[in-house]
Amino acid sequence: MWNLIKSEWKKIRLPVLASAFLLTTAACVLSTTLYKSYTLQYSLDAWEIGTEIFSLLFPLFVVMPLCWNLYYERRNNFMLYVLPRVPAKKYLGAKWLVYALSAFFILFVPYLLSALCALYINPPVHLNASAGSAAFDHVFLNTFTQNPLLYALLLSCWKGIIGILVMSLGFVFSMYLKNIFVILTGPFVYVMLENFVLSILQLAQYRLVVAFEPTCISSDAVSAGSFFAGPALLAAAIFLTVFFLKKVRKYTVVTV
Amino acid sequence: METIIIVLQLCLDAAMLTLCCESVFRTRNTAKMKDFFLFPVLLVLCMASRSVITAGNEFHILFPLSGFELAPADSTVILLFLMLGVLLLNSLFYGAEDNGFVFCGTMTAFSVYLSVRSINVAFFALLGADGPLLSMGSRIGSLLFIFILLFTPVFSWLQRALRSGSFTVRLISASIAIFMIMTLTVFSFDVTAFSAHMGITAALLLILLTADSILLIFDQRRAQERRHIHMIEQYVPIVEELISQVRARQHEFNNRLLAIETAIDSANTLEEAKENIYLLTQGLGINPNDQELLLCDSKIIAGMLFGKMKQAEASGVRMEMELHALFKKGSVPETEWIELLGILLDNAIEASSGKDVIYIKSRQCEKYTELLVSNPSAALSNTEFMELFRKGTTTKKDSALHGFGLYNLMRITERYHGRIITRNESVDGRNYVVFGVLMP
Repeated sequence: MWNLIKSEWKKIRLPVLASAFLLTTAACVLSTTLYKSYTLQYSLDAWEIGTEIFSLLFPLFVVMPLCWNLYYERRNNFMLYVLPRVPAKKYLGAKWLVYALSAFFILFVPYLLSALCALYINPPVHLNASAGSAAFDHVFLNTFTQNPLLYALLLSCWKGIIGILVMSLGFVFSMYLKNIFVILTGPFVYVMLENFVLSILQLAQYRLVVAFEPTCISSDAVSAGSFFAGPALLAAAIFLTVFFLKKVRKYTVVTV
Repeated sequence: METIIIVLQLCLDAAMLTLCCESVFRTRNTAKMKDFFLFPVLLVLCMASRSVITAGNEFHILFPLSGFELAPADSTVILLFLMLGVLLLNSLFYGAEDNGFVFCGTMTAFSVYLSVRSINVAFFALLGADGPLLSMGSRIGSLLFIFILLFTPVFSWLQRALRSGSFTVRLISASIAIFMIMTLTVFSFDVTAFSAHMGITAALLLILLTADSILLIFDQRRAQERRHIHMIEQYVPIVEELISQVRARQHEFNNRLLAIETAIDSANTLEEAKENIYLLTQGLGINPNDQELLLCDSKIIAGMLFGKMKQAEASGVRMEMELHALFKKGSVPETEWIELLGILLDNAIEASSGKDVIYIKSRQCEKYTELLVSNPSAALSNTEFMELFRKGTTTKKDSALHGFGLYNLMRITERYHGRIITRNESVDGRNYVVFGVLMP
């Protein structure tokens, strides 16, 4: 298993490291520049402003550098040569594990480093009297104000976990489908559609985007359900997709 | 009234996109049921990119009347989303195997769409139109412009170039779309700002098109060189084989000469010597076809003809050649001659059966090179000859795979300002159809 994991990592390390590097650079630059035209109350506000665009595009960040690999292995019939040597489940399991760790890494590192930039590189925020008098509300207010580093660390971890879930949808697509555009953009389209449909149904607080970035709606609307409804719906969508493609459409990972 | 105008605008936008995508991707001549779904799906995509959604306590979808004169989106992000949607749609709808072709095809469709749309907006703005006249007029103008383009070889050329897989062509196709998106971004999709800076936009577009044209010319030259090298690699060894065969016979000729010398020396009478020499010279000499091939000025063409000769022999058909033309002297490159000969000979071989003879003749007619290939067949009228040059016309059973040879021959002839020759000829009381070209 360890050798399989190492071999899978070798296949995708370049796009993963490149994506992580580019995203980290972008997130750090945005977190240290964009906040200047805003009134800040806490240092971590700069982080939230700088990484706002990431909440929209994160499905692309975790799918594009990874899921092309399985698609091309199926297309080039590489899988045909793998199967006699390693059981399919073991091979795909190792692949998913590497992809999952990579997806986590791609989101966790840029978010955490940009938070560090916002906390320790940006000049400290001095709360002025008028701003201080206004009621300030935020998700996990105490942690956000008292222990911002812990808040950023936990939220970055959580974003990484959601990234793994979104990548898993892309992984399922790449296991059964033959259209690379659907594979690479399918999870993104899912997030967009889910966002749209739940907004229409007046269930905006349960969107996956809210679970990913709880500050994107009013903190009053955020509840414990907001963190789990979106990921649970996505997990259900993944299982339904697997069921539909495998059992109903009878698609296989490898066609002999 | 506003609603009707918005619906009309959306329909025109979707129709233009449909025409662009169809022209770039479509390969079939016949229509299928699913073809009718492209327009409605694109209409939905255009609607989605134009909608302003409010999802608070109450859910609202609004379609603004203005702000979409230059593109079916009013911001870069939405335009990119629209492009992503069209890319996905094209990949599903046309089912092309080559992902690069789908991506660059979509970029090409958007390049054409955005360029034509901007040109029309500029044209109407120059005429002083504004408001609904500008937005509707430019859309109708763009649709008509794209419709007219359909009857020109522009789209078929674009499709061929994209399918060739050339990196340069794909880069060029994407570069125009990227330029248009950047321009629209700079002007914030505002038609007034765009109209005010039409001059500089046109100049930049012109520079880009010039750079693209230069790149394209270089790319075509490189492609031509690659084809030439490929043909040299393919056909020159065949001619060298033919030459080595002749050289191998050199030993036989030397031995025969020695034998003739001995026969003369050992003969007692002149009659006896003549008889011996006659016997010894029997079977000497090179096959006339081989002789023609060795005299041919182009090794590549000779190699190709030798290969075709062997192919014909395998199906029991004989070839007779008279090659008096200089193929390397004219303006037509050898690669094109190979193409022309390949088409003519393949057709002639396929139309002939056992013991038929195919004649290949070439000669110089002043500044022109004439190449004729004739094979036995029932006489054809001029109309029938002309019909054979139409795209997709074939006398073969599997019509889907044939019908492009003579059409391509016609296109090559047009490209070099040559002429096509077709006629019926009688050889030994049998009718032969003659297909040929007269090239400068």
